[in-house]
Amino acid sequence: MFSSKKTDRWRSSNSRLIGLYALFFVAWGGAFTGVLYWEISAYLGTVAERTLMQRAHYYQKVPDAALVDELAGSEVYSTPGIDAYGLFEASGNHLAGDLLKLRSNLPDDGRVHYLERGLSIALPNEETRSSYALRLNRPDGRILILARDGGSISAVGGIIGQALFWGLSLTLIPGLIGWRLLRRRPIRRVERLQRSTESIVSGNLRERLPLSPRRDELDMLASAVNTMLEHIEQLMLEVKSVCDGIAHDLRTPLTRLRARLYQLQKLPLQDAHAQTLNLALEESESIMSRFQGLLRISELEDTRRRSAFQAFQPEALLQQAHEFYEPLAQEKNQRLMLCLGGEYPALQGDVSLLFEALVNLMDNAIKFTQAGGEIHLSCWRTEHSLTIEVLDNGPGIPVHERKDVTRRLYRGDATRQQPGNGLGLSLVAAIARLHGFGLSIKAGSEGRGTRVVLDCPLSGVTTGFLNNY
Amino acid sequence: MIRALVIEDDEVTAQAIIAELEAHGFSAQWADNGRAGLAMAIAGGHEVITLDRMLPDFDGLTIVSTLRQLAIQTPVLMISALSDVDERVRGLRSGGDDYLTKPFSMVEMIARLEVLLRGPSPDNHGHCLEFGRLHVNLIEHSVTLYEEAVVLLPTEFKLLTYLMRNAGQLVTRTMLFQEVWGYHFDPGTNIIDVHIGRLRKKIERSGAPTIQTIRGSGYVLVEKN
Repeated sequence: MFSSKKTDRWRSSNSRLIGLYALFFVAWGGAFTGVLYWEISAYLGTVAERTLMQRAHYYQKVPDAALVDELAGSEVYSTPGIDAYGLFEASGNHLAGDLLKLRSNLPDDGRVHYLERGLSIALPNEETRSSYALRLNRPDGRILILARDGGSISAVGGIIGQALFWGLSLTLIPGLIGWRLLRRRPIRRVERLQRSTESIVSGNLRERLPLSPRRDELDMLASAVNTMLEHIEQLMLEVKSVCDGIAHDLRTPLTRLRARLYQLQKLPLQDAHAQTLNLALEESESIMSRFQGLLRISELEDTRRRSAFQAFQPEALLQQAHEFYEPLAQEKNQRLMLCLGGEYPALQGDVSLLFEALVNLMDNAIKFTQAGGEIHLSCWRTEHSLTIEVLDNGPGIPVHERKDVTRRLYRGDATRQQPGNGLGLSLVAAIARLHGFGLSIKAGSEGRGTRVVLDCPLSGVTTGFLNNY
Repeated sequence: MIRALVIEDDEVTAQAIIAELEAHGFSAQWADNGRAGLAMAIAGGHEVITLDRMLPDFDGLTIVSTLRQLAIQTPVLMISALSDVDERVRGLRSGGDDYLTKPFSMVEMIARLEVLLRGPSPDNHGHCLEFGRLHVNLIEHSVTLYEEAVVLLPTEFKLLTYLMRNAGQLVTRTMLFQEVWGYHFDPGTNIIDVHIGRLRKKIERSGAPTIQTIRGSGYVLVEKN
């Protein structure tokens, strides 16, 4: 029922805001550098194209015979590794220049083209690089290729990429540190509020939500809740004091009534009178048992009883309950089986009350199961809880009555003829509620019988709650 | 005649208690408020006291703790309209010897007073209990009847020893449940009868002590005639 789950750090509004902001910043930075890269590379491409076209125009005017010398002479002034040329025969054989191979994928249209894989240049250890190139067909059939290195665009891309990386790092890293620092305090406060709320939910109405000196929006909310709690506690105290008053005022007259009836019983009476008196005494017993039962449930609603909680071993309690009821089951020719498996962790609770709950459950199981039936008292451990189950193969509780049976004084249609006051399961429910245990009533195996399950969480407010007392 | 002091502010309840006490051979004195009750208790001359928890002037807790401080060890049965478990613990811690919650049955009250009067029963012979031909060794947890061993379950053993310690006296179901199982609520079923029935069968011999059922009240271990 109670769990102190830590707040999921990504669910805080601060985290979401900072995450959204970071996403926006990364997208904006990416778009900005993308546009920058595109603009710069377009500009550098135009510059390379113009240079190549200028060189092409110049060499077009040079006569074929003087071309080789002119090329050798002019290219001395060009930047090595940036500008290059290659002169080839029509068949593709290399005649002169740094470019050694005629690339067939370079279109023969007199325009500048960008080649991703570039051209091979006869320089030591030179790798194939991206480049701009232009093919010129000479009147004598030779082919002149003029090229300019395209690496500067990649370099610009690299610089812009680095700028983006540093820009994002320098913004996101301090952002993340700031987020962590900013997140910690509100989360801690929310966790403190959560702990207090769980304690209040579990019945500790004296607990109040913690307030900080900042008087921020969380404090405003906590303060409003605290005022509400004051009123609720006041109302509950008033109701309890009225109930206590009624209880006290009724106990004395009931004691008197019984005393007078017993006094009467001692007088010499006629048979008919004695019989009526016995009936009156039985009625007074029945009133007393119901009254005691109702008072007991009311007492259990007062969660201050948790101050009597202590650690105990559930198997000892179950064994005792089994031993207690085994003779009665045997007398009714029923089989009462205790199914324990392995070691169980200690539970926190009031042993006496839990024994009372088990007594009620087993009493019901034995009472409503036919002779020759079977009753199982079992206990097993799941990951977060310990489950105690009382299962019988009796007539079971109809689905529409399962919710009502824990109501005070409720008696099902099929059970009205049986002895009882309709308080047993209400008492079990009150004890379960006091301990923070889950109580569920289901059908037994194959839809027959009754299965009552007490689900006892192993960690939770019950343990933490004790520390407040 | 056993002299009892009844400290109870409600006249009708007090009269009923006194009538019941007198019917059981007690002589009873009545105090209707805390101050008079304390004075009478200190003056002494009583073997047992029934004390209401809530009284005018001094409440029951104050009276019993004052008596104990003055080293007056008269057994006190506290009777209270407060049934809370904490109240019971508080009552016993203050020096009360037993605690009864209103509304209570007179039979229960007398049975508890009888047990209180007997006091913490010393074992008949050191670590042994004997009643008629029944013999219980508390160290070895063994029972013999007519020199023959009787095998009892732990619960049956506890039931028998409690009955033997209070042999001849009425013990109620609530008292047995409290003493043998250690719980203070009313189990509300005939379960105690079933346990007693089992024990009864095991010690059933002609001429041996027997457990008599007193209808609507409890049981008494008696010698068979």
